[in-house]
Amino acid sequence: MATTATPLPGGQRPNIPSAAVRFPAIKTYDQVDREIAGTLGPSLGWFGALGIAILCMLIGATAWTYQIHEGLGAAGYQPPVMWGVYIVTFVFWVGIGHAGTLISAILYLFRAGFRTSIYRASEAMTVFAVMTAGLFPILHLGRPWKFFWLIPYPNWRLIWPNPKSPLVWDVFAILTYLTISSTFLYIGLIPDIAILRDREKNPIRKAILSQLSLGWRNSDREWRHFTRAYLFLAAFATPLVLSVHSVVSFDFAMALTPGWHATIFPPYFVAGAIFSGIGMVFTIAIPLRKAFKLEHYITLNDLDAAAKLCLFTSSVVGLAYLTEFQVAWMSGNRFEQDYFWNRVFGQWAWAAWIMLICNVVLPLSLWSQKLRRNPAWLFILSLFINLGMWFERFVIVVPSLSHEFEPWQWGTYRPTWVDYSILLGSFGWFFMWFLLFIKQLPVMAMAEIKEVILPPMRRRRDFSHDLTQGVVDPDETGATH
Amino acid sequence: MSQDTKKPGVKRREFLKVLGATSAAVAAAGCSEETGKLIPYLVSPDQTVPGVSTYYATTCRECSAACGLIAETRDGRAIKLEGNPDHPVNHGALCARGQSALQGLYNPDRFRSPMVNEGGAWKVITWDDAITRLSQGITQTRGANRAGGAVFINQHESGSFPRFLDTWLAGFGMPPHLSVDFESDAAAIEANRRTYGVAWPSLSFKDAKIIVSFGADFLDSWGANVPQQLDFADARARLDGAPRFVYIGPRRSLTGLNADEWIACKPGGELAIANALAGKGSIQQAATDAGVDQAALQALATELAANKPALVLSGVSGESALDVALAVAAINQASGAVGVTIKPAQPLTGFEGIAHTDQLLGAVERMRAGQVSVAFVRGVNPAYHLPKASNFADAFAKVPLRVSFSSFPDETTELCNLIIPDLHSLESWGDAEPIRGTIALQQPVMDPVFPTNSKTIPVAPGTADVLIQVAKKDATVASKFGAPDYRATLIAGFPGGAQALGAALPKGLAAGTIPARTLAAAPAVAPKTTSIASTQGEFFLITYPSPLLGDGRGANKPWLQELPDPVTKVSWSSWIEIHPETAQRLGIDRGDILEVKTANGTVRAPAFPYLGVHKDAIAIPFGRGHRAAHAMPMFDPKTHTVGEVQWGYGRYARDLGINAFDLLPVGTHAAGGFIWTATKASVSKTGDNEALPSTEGSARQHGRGIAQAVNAADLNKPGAGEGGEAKEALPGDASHAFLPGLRSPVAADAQGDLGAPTAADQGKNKGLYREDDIRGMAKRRWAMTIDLARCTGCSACITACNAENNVPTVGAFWQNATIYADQKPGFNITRGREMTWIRLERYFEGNPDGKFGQDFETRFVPMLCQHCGNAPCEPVCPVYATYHAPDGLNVQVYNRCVGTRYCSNNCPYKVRYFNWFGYGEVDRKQYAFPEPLNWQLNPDVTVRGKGVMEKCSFCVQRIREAENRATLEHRELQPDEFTVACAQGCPSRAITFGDAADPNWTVAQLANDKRAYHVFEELNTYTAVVYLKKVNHPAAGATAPRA
Amino acid sequence: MTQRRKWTAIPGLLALAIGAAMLSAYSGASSSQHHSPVQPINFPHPVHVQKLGMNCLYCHNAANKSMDPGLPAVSTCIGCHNIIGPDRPASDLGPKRHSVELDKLYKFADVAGMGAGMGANAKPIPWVRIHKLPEYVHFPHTRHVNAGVTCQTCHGQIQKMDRVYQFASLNMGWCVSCHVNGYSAKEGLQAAGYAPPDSGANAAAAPATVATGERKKARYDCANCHY
Repeated sequence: MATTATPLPGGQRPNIPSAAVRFPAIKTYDQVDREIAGTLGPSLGWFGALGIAILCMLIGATAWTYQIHEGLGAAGYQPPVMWGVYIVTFVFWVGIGHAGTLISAILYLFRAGFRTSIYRASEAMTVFAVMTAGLFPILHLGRPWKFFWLIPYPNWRLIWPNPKSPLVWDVFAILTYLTISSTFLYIGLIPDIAILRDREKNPIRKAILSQLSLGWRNSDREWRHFTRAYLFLAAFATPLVLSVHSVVSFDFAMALTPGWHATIFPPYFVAGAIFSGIGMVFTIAIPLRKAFKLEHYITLNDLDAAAKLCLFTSSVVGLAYLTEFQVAWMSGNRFEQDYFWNRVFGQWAWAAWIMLICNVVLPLSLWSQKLRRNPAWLFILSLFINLGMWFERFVIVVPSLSHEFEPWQWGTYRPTWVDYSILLGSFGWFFMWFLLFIKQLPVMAMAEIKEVILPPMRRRRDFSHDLTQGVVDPDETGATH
Repeated sequence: MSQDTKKPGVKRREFLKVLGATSAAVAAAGCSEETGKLIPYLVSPDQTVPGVSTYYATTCRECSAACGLIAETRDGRAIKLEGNPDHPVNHGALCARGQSALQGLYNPDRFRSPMVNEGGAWKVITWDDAITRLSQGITQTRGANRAGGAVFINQHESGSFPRFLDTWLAGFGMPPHLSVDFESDAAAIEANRRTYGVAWPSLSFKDAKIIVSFGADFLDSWGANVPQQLDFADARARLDGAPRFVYIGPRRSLTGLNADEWIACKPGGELAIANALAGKGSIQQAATDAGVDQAALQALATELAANKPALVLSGVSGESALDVALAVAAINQASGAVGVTIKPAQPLTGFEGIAHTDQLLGAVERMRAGQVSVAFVRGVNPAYHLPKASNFADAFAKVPLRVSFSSFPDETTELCNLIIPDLHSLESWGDAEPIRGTIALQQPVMDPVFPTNSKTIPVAPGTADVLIQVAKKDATVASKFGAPDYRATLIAGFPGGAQALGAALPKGLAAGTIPARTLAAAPAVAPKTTSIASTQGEFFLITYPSPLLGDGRGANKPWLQELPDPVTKVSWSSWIEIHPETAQRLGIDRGDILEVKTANGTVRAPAFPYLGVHKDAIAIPFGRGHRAAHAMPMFDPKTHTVGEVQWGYGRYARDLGINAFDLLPVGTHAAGGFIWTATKASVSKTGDNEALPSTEGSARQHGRGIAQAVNAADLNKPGAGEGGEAKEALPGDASHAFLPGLRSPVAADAQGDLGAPTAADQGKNKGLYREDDIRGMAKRRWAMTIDLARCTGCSACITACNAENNVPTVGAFWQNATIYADQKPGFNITRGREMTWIRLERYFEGNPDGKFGQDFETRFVPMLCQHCGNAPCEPVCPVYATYHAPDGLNVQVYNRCVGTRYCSNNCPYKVRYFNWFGYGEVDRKQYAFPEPLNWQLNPDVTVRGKGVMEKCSFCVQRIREAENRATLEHRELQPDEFTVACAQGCPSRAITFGDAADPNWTVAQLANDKRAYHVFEELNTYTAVVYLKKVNHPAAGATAPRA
Repeated sequence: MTQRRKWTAIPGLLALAIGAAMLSAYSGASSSQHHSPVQPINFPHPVHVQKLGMNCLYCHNAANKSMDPGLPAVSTCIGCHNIIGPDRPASDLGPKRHSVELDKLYKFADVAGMGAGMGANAKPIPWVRIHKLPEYVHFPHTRHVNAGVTCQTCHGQIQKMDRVYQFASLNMGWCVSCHVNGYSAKEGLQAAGYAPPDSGANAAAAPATVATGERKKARYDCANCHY
């Protein structure tokens, strides 16, 4: 007898939960809690890393103390190059910060899925990067003990800072950025802190955590407020991504110096900042997922997506470079042209080409998906990007100053051990904070990951009974209910 | 008066220390700041008001020209030297070396007391002891009756002292002293004497139609350079009928660089040319002999014939020196120069009675033969000046009693066994006759810097006083010296006596003549010459006295060490000039260490490729390479103790550079003078290279129109303002039209509604920025013009500025960081960290490919803060440390500066300088004014501390002083009532300062000159410094090289 | 706005206020005002100025012609105290007594006895400095004195101080406010602590500006004092 078409019993639309795609290997809430909370608590390797970081930090601190005592001449300044490694490194670190905010805030507003697993790390990176950057403006002063004169406060001299000076704008920009991003980081942390609190045995730590969690009880009302606050801060932080680095770029764009005096600087700097930031995210996230065995959280898809962003910003930066040359060429401005020629083919060629190769040429490899999905390559590339972006700032600051209007005052620049030690120190300082962070607080937002995977159903057993009826078994698709 | 006990004396010299103190104190206690003590006078001296300057006229002794000085003293200390405006020689101008006399006075390495060398070790003795030892020594020699064999070598000076000295020597039966001046040109003097009967007729460049110099560097150190420079500048600044200037010689010195045309003959070629021009010998023969272009020579000959009178000078120092000088004299006579451009009627008496090298060598030989019983040295340093070949040291060692009257350690003094330090000329009495018929007086402008160590001798005596004391100890001689001291002697000898002297002292001048020494004609010594042709080596070795360090006397004065050589711009180092073409051929780069070898010795020094030296020659300056390093008892200013210190020639000169005398044979020419260009040398690369401490970035202006010039011919064409090369117009420029009056377009709203709000104007009162404001600042606009047609690049302005504004020198080897940092003299200069507020840029024009050619032009540009009306540095300072004052000054407030250095980044002229180290802090090793150098610091100017920016302030302290005076006298400032330090010192009167907003000031008129231009006008900075284009006088047909 | 919201604002403002205060403190707002060190000789200004009516310029003789006020040379003291010895008869200045301070003076000046004059080993008196401006501030006494600013305006009524103390804060704001807002001769005379000038005999003697009370303003341009 002829068989007839048989409908699927139950008349239910088959479902593939998104979690199956995002985190195929993450099944349950307690798995998340277990695995991520498991990354906390010190380990031998961690102590080693922290030790190195602190050592570098101390080297930098010593060099700075010496520099304050001896005078700024201890550094390699060589008039007319009055700004050097310190300002270069300052811009470098501010730049690093930006990717964090981009990922945690902008991508949040765009609901970009791949941010979930990496945003906590990058947000932390932002805060610490800005903390590092903030040191340098003070550190490069001739009389650092007078830095507070840049802050407007009521004083008996009856004088204020100069509102026309980009350096004063910097003070505001950096402080705002630090405040907002640290608040943003903390707000996002609250639910996770609550989780840790509940898991914590040690009474003292428990007390601290419960203080920090502001008595979070996971109540519906709290979540409603939380999401509002988080959304608001995301919206608030978004413009900062653009404004802060624009202001930083004004330090140069507002000046008369050939090579600085360019309208293209703000967008150029912002793009560069995000580019360098993504680079740093790779540098941090890839070892992290390996060390903490979190490959199934920071999946290849996430890296792939981030790599695309990296490729995009790299090409924006490349465009900016070209534009600079084109402007110089078409301006017909003798000073400008001389300078750019000297930059690429003259005394500074070596620096300029390091910059171009690291920032424009190498990232082209990301057109290949194989490499985009190859963590090892991404990590290596990210190191090159960091190097390249540091040199971008170097090329902007130093050659411009060394080759200005007055031929009689043309010069060169040779940093000393003091500059290098303080540069090293800044990395030590940054990683010290970051390492301390990842062992105290979850490096990944548990709560947000849980938002992605399916909540545990109260009536799980009910499902399993009609497997026979050919319901697509989530387990076969590798997904979880 | 009020002073700090801890630092008796100059106030405001520990700027940052105090800043440190304030913050520290606050951090610590909050309310109690250590304010020190107030130490009153015991008896307040008359004629001085504490905190108000007193001025004394005296005479400069740095070279034999004897210029007039006005010494500014404050609270009993000389703090600044200016030229004496009434003085017939220098008319108020003063050269860098004259300015630096102060650092001789306050030199930290000066001997504090007499010393005796016993068993190879020096030990301090009292003044009484020293004088006793001296007189005993002399008595012994007389006893042994060998007094006739005594030798007294004195640094040549004019005035009464030489005669006094001879009388003294004669009293003890000693022969007259040798008055030695290594910088004097024996050949010229001899030729002058033979032709005009005087040693040095005064020269008039003004009256010359053409000036030709055979290696006579009248702007460097040949003759009396200040008056020569004044006159030369006046002549050249005449816009029509200014004389052309042709320079003939193998090396283009500073003088040569000021010439319109350079005829680069090879060393020794001058004679042929001179003869040809004098009509002896044919032009083409001369051209071939001298290796120069015949056409050029022909042109010169015709030009000389056409333009009479000419002024032709000879400063050749080869073996043929005298012949050239005589030939030149012939040319002058032929062109009717005598009495017009050369005035034997008014001779510069400073050049009379100079004993030349041959006599000195004669004395040395007598020493070697053991005929010399006692030798005195005062101010001269033969051990350094005489070539190694002469073995001076050995000969000198044969003299039993060797007395030095030098106040500083030097090579010769070290070889002596008794040191009785002389007083500095600013501490002692004296006189001079700079020009016949005028007596220039020299009076002490302050008490001796160092106290005496004797109860019976209350004040440290000068040499003359010591001699008198010695004489008094000897019954036979005492009668000749009745006067108690040299001062009394002078008064006695002065026409009109004490009365007249007292009347003359305020001006420092008196009419009258000083009887000259009666000198037996010096025994003719046969010239010892080895013909340069016979010597080995591929290059002629040209050696010349440095225009700044002279024959080496200036070497321990940091100002002079730091002052970049006007030609090469190198400081704190020796160098070897070699032509770029040759350098390229030998593969030599700037800074490569070369080894120069002659029959007499070898030296190693960095190479400096220089367009202005003949391609077959290398040139080395004298002045550095002092090596004396005997352990001298040295007074430590910190601990106020006397300790054994290795000072050598002094801390600033020690182990620095090379001494070119090591290379030379002992040669004297027919006139008995030393032969500077005496040998050939071979050059080889050593492979090492060191960064030359030079302030030069790029020697070309890359068409940026910083130093502009105009041809004399174009000048009087209509629209000459735009004459010369116009710098290329940049798109988007503001109008290039010259902006007269220089009112700052931003001053009006620079500080917004700053004024005190009153009900009437609702706070719209612009206060200080309102022109009719009672405080009357806004109505002025301080400005400066610099005439490049006058500027010769001599760099005197830099030293004047250093002295006035407490600018630290940074080149000494200990002034760098401590840990893992280069401890090399001039290191900070190689890092571009020089601090001088005004610098002299030297740009070359033409001959871009560096091939050997004679047609390149040099332009000197004094570059200082332009006090822009629309200053790029002002808006970028985060703390208002630099801002625009209503009177147009661009002000730097040191104590507000936090040191971001943004202002410097944004300054197109790069005239802001940063205190990289604690140059101004007493307790730091980088301190630039070790006791007692700091006595010279100007109390009116803050000494800048570590980490602050500083720059030219247009001598704001002088502006305030003038304003104060005017206000107290209830009057307005008078036009040209005062001027700034650089303008005051300038020996060519190139700089004019004043209020450009008031048409009655000279500067306001000059600012509207048709040659006027602003540097980087296209940047809209509205600079307050206006340059007047240089004027070129190219040879007929030739055009001035373009940038 | 509700109570709760109001409350939340407080800590923020508090933080700001504390921050500002700390900065001001660190930046040196606290000056050495009012400090009054012990001097080697307790020189009684009241006696010399009020009782004997000596003019400030007699001892501080450069105040009207120099940046420096000038400090009396020891010889100046001895000038009078050569005749006025330590043993004081009863007078309107007080009962008969022996002045210890003068003994100290004689010791410094190495005076053998009355009329002997200064000795060979005279030493200057190490007065402890009270009023000190930083080295980078140029304060011309002459300009101020000649502009009619009474000494007391800045130094307080020294004529009444048994021991001199620092009267004004001497900090920059203090200077500037006077330069900006100006100064009237009337205020000056009042500050000096004498009878108001427009009363009685003084009115005639007082300068014309006193009556008009015209305020004289001064430059407050940085480069006027800092260079």
